[in-house]
Amino acid sequence: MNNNQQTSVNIGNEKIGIGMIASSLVVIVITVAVFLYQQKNEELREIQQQGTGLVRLLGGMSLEQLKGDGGSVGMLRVLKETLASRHFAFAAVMNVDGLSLAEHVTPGIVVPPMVVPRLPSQWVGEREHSSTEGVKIHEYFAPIMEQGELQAFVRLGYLEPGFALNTAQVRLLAILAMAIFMLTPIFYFLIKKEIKPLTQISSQLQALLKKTESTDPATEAVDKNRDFMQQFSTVVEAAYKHIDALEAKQTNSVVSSKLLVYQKTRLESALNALPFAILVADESGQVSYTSNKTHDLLGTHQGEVLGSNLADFCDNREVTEYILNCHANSAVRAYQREEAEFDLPANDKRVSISGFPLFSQKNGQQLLGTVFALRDVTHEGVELKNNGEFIAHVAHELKTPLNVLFMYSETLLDHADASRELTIEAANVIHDETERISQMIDNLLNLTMIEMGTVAMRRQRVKVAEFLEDIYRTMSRNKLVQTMEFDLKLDDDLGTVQLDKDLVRVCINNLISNAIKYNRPDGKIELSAEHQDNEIIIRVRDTGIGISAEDQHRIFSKFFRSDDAEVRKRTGHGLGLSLVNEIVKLHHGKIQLSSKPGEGSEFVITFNRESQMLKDAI
Amino acid sequence: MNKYRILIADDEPYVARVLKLVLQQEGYKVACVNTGREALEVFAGLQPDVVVTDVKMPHLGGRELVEAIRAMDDRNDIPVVVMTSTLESENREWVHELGNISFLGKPVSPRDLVRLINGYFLHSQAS
Repeated sequence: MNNNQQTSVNIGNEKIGIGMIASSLVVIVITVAVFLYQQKNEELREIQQQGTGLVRLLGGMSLEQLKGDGGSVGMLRVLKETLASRHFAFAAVMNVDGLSLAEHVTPGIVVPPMVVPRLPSQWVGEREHSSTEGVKIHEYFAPIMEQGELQAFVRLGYLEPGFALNTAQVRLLAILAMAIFMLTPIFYFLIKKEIKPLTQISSQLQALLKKTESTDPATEAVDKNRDFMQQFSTVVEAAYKHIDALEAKQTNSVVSSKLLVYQKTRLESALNALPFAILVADESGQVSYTSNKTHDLLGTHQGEVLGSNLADFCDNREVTEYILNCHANSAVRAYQREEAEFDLPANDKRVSISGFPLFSQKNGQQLLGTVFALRDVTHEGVELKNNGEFIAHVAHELKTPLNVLFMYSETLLDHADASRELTIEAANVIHDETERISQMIDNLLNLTMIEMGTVAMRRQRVKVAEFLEDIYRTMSRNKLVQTMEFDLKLDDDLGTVQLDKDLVRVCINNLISNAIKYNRPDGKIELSAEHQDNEIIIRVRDTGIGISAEDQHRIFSKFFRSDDAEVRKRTGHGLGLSLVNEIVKLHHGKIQLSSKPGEGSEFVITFNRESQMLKDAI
Repeated sequence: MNKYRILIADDEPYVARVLKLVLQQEGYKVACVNTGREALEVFAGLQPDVVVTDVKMPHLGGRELVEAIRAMDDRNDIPVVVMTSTLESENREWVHELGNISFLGKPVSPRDLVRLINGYFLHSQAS
């Protein structure tokens, strides 16, 4: 970079040198030209003075004096001989008729003819004419009077002086040229010295343009120019600052545009995460945004839809008509919100579409377009139907034990003298059935809360062994269990696991209750726990009636009760296992079932001791 | 003590149990089953005089049980008491078609059942 600058500065100096030589030559040429021109003018003036003076003098002489008479030499002859002037052309005397009386001519020159002027005022004068060789001749004439009569004219002719130099003049000019030449280098160095700061400024400007490293322009400044240079430096510094400010601005705008992109991405993912699809049309009816779900619902493609017109993007005619209508209504603000449902046979879906006019946030009156929210309602009917079935089921399940209570209580009332046997049985049934109702309502509430996501998980670190021992003790009090063999088998060092104690207690209680209920008399029940790697495995095994392969698939469904006669002999409400399943899922655990009809069942619950992700993070 | 035999089919064990208890108090011979299929299995051997049945049962419901009884060669006209929680109008058609059926709405009053069954036999005794 610096080398380049040096080169350019050198090139600049050379140019200056050549320029100076050329200009000095021009000066020399001009000087010579002016000199010659001046000299010519000077000679011309001399000729004029001499001519007019001489011709008047000659006009005062007599004709004879001029011509010479006999032995005397005429004045004209004398003139010709004495006038050494190299410009002398001729001297002549001419009578009034224009005839030459006497003439003395420089060889090669012909005396031009002259018409005698009529008016006496024109008798004295001068005129110019060209000779036959093209040489300009200045002629001066005057009348010769004798006794008041015009006798003749005397004429003197001079050649036009040319540009000519004599040796002395050439020498003078040579000295002059020499002097000018000698001055050239001095001027050159002077100029160079003067323009040095300017070249520095030039390189500074170049650096400024290329935004190279700043060099201090003042350091090498010539003293005379220091003030100027300092001012210039200030300007340059200001320019640097301005450039820096612009660069900072640019960086800021890059950062803010990145921020905008990030925010846009975040907003888009938020919109994509919504449970419904979003489609936005601008005021002109062009699709300006679609969330991912739109294309799943309508069977369209992102690339095709964006920028297309509302009238074209969807194949379904009904949908298109509705959307266009909504958009047209947006323009006249005819509604707040519209909603309609459509069947889409093409992709076997039912979609609910809502349209909302989109107004500017700044100016609530300014319409920006229309937003459409599309919702998949294909399964909503099914869910509603399920909901209805659920309520019917709950009603039925609640009513059954109530019926039993009603029947037993009426029987007791009607048989005041009833046998002790009947009374005890009735009391037992009433006790069992109220417990059944209570348990069912608890299960139902828990299940509903879990399904609605309103259950507040209170996870705590639970010592597995202590927790299971406590459950075992409580369940052992059950009367039916006392007719069976109920065992607890726990591995050593089970350690702890994060659980909601209350929920998991309900879960294991339900499994043990089932193991009791569906067991045979003097059957076996085993509650056991072991740990493997990061997992705690809890098993509830029984020697009961077992579950058929067919029923195993449905056993965790809400209100499912097997049609098996052995099952039907026992009361139940079909909620216990579905609650077990939900609680295990809530803990991100697994539940497995293995069973053989007539031999027994084993439910295996697996809980992760701690989240693997959490472990990795630690 | 009388000689009449009654078959009760209900998948709710306690319902069957309490009905059995009250009918036994009246001197009837009572057998309980949990499903329609079981009812048909014991029907021929038991030779019941009245069948009391629930409508919704696994393995053959109440309506199918009555249809099967009415299709039998022998004792196909015995009286049947149907216990149902659903509206009578929903069952009217098949009840009318199959004939000799009485309804008891749930919750079934044991008192009403006894009165109804007693009514059958008083009538038959009188005739």
